[in-house]
Amino acid sequence: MSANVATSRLNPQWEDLSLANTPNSEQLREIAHYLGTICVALSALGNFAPEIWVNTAQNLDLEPMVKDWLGNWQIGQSSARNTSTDKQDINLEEARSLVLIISHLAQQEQELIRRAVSLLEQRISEDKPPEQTALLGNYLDKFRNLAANSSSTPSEKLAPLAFKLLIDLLFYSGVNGHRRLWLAILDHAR
Amino acid sequence: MLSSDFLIRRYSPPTCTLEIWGQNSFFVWQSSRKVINETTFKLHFDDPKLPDTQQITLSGDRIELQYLCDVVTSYIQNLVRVCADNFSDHSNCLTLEQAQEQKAVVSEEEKEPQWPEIELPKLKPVNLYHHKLDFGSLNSDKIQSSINLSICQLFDLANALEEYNNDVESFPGLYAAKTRKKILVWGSVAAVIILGVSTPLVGVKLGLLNPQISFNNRQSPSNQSNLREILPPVPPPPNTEEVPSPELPPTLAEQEPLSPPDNITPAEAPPRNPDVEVVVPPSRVLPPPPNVPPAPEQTTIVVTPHSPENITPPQVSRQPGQNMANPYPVLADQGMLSYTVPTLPDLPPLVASSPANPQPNYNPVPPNQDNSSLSRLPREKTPLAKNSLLDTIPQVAEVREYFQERWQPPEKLQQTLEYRLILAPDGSLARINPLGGAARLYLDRTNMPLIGESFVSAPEVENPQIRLVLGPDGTVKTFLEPNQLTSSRS
Repeated sequence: MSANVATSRLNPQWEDLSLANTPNSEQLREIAHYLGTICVALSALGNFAPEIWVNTAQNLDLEPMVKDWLGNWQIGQSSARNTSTDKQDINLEEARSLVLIISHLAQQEQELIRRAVSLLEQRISEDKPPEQTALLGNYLDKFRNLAANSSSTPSEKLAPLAFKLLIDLLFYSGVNGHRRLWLAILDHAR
Repeated sequence: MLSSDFLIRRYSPPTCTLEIWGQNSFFVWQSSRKVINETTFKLHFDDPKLPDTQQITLSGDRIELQYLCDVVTSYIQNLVRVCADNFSDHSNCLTLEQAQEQKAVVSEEEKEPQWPEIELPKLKPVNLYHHKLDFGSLNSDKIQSSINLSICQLFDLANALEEYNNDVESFPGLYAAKTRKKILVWGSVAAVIILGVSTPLVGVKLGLLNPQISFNNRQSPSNQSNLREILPPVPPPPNTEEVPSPELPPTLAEQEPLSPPDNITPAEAPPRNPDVEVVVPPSRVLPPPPNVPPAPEQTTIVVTPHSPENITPPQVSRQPGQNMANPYPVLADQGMLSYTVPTLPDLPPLVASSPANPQPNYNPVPPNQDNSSLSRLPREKTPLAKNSLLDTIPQVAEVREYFQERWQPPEKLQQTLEYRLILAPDGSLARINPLGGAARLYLDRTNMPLIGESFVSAPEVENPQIRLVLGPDGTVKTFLEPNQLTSSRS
């Protein structure tokens, strides 16, 4: 594990993910929950195959760090059991790795994310329901399906959350998006 | 003060352009103030919905730019902390106003006392989708003092500023203020120029009047030594005396002269060691295209395939006021946002091209011209040669027919929209690249099929790239583009 950590630290972006104080266990669970929600949003928009997360982790030499967490997360997605009260644990190395994986995938899908946000803005400005477009409608349906197994959020709140996460994903896909995401999850954990 | 401005760097996401300018002053030593900041910036907001006369440009110095960077960065960080409408799981989320208030309190505590005379730019939320940027003391050539930014515009602005910050961190010398040593060098160069012009006139005149008078520079040894460091040594003037012919000393004169050497023939190459493998050096890779300055009406030029069929010529997209050149900095290695196709200078003919590095060829080739430039392309089988540019494919017409049935230009649209479509082997869309800000803005009005959604027949060539041109008058044009490997997606 230490060798893998050393390898990961060779990634220059890893050094951007610094930390002043180590979060406690409850804060780490909040971090895990937020990262899981981001993964749900990205999966729903990109229409990813389940193995894309592990493949991306392998490409970034982060697979040993996160394979356990990703495995548990995907089991939770496919399970009908509501796991929101039993939040998944995460450690700092897993959190850092996930931040890099998410920002990498978001950067790859930036064109699609931007198109979705642009369409969202357009529909909002025209005072029309965003989900009545093909792109946003499909995204929302998939998000609802994936989030239903891992969140106790009322269904009527899922749509605003999904669209807000689109905006967040856009900023996480930009320059230094990994730093932005890292600071965001630390803020959520406070 | 005589000075010249030069462009150091340009960052151009789709909806704004950030330019960093430097200043060279030839008379800096005459200035009473110490030179600290010699870089300025210009920030153009490119909104295709607005006419050129209403486009906004801000300008300021390096400190104001740095402050703008900080404002935008912290604003966006607050924005991603904001909850989506009382989402209960995120109990730590704030509304955007609360996040801004927290930031304002922190800003008060951290306020720098040396900027009291500067009105700082501010970002304020109108709602989740609109954000107002107050210009503060940043110069604007328009009367208005603020601009409403959409999410995408805010994102583009943040990207440009982050790229700038990354460059500043990576290359601190790029924007460093001039040092005293450099001032002295420039001053010396200027003095040389002045002396070089005046010496032939003054020296001759003084020499005729009074040969004892010396030039001014000899009276100040320090300046003379500086000038000697810069000036190359001047050969002595030729004199009119006879040049003495050399004479052999007596001891050498008694020796017999040597015979002339034999003819020197080129040495034979040593025999090649058959055990050593022949290593072919890697093919020459052309450097990336230079950072060309933008032209006001720069057009997008693509290769038109030389085909006997009715391939329509590309619609030249003129978008005045929009930066069409490839402005992205060469040294920045962050993910690049896709831009409109730049007009590259003529590249030297390709000597060899490996399959891994096919070169894009954007030199315009009129259909009736002799294709001698194309004949210089490598003959070996590369993906470029295999997918012949001269052949059209049925999918070009199919895409055109698809959009002819569906394209209904919006009322306010005045520009031509261009897209690069990459087809997957099953005839679905693998990728869509909007070219230009207007294309991005109106993408969802084009009835573009979704990625993976099949809409034409399966192509026989691999990943054909089709340019789709949608006119504001309802016209639809398509043509096949040269297939090329794209760089990593942004």
